[in-house]
Amino acid sequence: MKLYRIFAFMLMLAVAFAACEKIDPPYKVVTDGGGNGSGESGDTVRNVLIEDFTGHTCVNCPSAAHKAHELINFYGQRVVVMSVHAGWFARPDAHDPLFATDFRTESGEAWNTFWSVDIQGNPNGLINRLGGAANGVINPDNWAPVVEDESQKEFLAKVTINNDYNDSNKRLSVEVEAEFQKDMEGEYWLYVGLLQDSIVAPQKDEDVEGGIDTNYVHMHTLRTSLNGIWGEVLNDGETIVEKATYDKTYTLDFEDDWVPEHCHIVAFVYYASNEGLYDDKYVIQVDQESVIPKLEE
Amino acid sequence: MRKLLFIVSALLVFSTASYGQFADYLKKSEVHGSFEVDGMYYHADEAMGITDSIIDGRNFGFNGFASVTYSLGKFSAGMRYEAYLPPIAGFDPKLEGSGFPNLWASYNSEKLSFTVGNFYEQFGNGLIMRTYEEWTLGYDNSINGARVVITPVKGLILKGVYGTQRYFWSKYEKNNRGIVKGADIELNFNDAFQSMESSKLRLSLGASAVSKYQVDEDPIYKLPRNVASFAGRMNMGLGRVNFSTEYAYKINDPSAMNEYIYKPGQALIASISYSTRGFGAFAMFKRIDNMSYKSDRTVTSNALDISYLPAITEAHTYMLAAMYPYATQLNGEIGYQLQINYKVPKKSKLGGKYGMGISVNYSQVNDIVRTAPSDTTEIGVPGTLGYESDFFKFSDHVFYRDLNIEIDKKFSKKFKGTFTYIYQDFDIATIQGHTGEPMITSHIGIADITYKFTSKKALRAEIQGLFTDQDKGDWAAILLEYTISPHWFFSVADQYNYGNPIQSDQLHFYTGSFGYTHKTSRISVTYGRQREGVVCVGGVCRNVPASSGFYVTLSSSF
Repeated sequence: MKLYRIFAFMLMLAVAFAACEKIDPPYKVVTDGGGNGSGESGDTVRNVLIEDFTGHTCVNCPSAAHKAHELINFYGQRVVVMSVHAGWFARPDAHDPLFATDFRTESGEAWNTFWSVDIQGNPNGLINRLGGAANGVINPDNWAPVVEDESQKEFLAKVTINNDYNDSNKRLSVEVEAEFQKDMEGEYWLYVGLLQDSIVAPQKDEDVEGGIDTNYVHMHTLRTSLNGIWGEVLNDGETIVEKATYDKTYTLDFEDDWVPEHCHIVAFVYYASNEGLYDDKYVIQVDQESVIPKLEE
Repeated sequence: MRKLLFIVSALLVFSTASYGQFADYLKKSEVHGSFEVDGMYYHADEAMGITDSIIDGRNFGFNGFASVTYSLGKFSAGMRYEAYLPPIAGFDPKLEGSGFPNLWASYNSEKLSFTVGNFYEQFGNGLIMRTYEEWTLGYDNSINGARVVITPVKGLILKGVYGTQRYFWSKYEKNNRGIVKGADIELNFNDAFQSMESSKLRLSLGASAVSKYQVDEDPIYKLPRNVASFAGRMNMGLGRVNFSTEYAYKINDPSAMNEYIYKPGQALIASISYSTRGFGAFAMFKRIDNMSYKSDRTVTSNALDISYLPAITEAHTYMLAAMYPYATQLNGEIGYQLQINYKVPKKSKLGGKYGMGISVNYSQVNDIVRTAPSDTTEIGVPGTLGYESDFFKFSDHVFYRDLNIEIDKKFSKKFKGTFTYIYQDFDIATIQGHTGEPMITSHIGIADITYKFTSKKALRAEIQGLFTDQDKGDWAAILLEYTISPHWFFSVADQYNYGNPIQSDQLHFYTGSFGYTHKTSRISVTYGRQREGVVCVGGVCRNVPASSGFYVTLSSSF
């Protein structure tokens, strides 16, 4: 009898030991955009940049794009996604016309090498380029908590973008202004690039029967840079004073397959450490603006 | 001065007594250990697409370990050193580094065993708890914490574990992964009750509960911080029949592995066997539904597994038969395995002078059936229940099917052979993630012949063929191995992908190797080409990339 008592007692102990939490629906936090109630605009709060390193032959990349889209739904304009086609899975395939298109960019390839992204596998990404060259790559399943963390950080700079697209000569003029919100030390750089939405092109996808989605809609695709692979330095290391503004202007001639109505200019300011190979490239603010302003409804 | 003299004298007396005690301890102490080093030198091989720029100066790979255990009476302690500098191709790059991942101390008495540090543990079949180390996979999910095993009365074993799991070289820090705790109880009726001591019925029952704690940092999903799982098991034997089963249940565990669905997980395994002289039969059933259970919900690689769900398919070891190995599909599978062994008697018409062994094994694994959780929700949508599933229904989607027939025949005192035919269906899209590729159907034939020249010298030959219209097409392979017992072996082998639809990929994968064994020490050297493939142990697999070069392995134990 004693044996049964011990048995029953231990079983009860084991069950108590195994703490558990059953979650009841809804399983997701409901918001109306803007994340957890800290504002909707990069004019007053910190926005977050997600660089989604992808490739058209990467079968798991659509799920990462889905995660990025989920974060846009949750945070609204406060999250800016940049899809960077780079590395092994982004290479055009000369033998397969479905994947002959080259979506790679000079910037994307350089970043892929710098952060060793495709060596660690795709999909993968950078969040505000946190973690330096050695620890910057973040698995899509970890994006959400990191984005949340970054979105709560101090508002340090405001980035304003003004686009003027001339349809007759297919030339875009861009003015970018970075306004710092406090005195700051160190070297700050500005990167300006062109993103394109709604590119319909084949994509390998493990969730599609047959493994290839021939009508996949590529969003936020980085098309080109307006100011070089790494952008350009703003302050040359001089101390930045509160409310200091830095203005830059650029022009870009559109290529035939860049659809202006689907394009955005993305601009971000990042801190670059002055040591060695600029190991640290931490983004302090990002914003984006449509090339063709959307009509008010 | 007097004080100093007193201290020196006291120390001398004390140290003399201590030395005696120390010498006594030394006599009772035992030290055991083992070590292994595996080194690889890579060189470019244009035909295989391996260029100097791909190697990029990293011509060497090195994996090594050494384990030492010290024991004195009921006390034992040990440590394990590992180095991956850098890891050999195919091992997780996160292994790169060196150090002591495992340190432990233990006290073991008849009724109580207590371990602190790193330890390995398994509850039942491991459905909700198994930690183990597998050197060939670079896998180690040991727990760093404390373990207690109590045997209050004969036949009753109680276990408790608490700690965090190893994740490569990453030290546990607050919230960087979960904390695991668990308890297990097992009652062996034949040992516990005198009345059953000599009973024909052999019976044992067990139950376990495991929970993991991980903080919820996700802004979008409401994630359970504590995820518990429970399992119950039974082993029963009556005469020549043995029956064993275990059922496990896990509460909602949204994770990267299941795409953040909230459906509870379930697993069931059951097996029955019968054996008599010259005949054996075995049947096994397994169903898994959403049972990945890791101590970090964001990890998708082979790491931090708390549960272990073995594959129920035959694990082939011959070169070509092992080309398409099955790996357990943790998100859902249902399957069975049947095996019959028969020994044709000696001096019968078929058995001849020495008899003949026949073994037939069939296994099949399908996907489970999934239906939408509601009229408005599709199957598998993150942030929902995910799906509903009828427990015993097989989906039409076959993951793996394997029929193998093996005949084992001794022709004379010097000559024996094993002849195998295997039919395989392998869903490479699901099992290896080659999305879009068709099911591979293959026929494999193997002849393994050994000729003994003397009692110490033997030549073994393997002749193999794999025939398929899919993937890389047909293969042929040959292996010749000359053994001089108990020290030397020499072998040459070639795998030829003559049926590859791409002509430039119709390559020979040749190797030449030799080895020397002395007592518990062994060294072997191999030169040649390693084809791209997958190595699996117990349903856990790693991808091995193609390589060319020298491979040296040295192992010993003491």
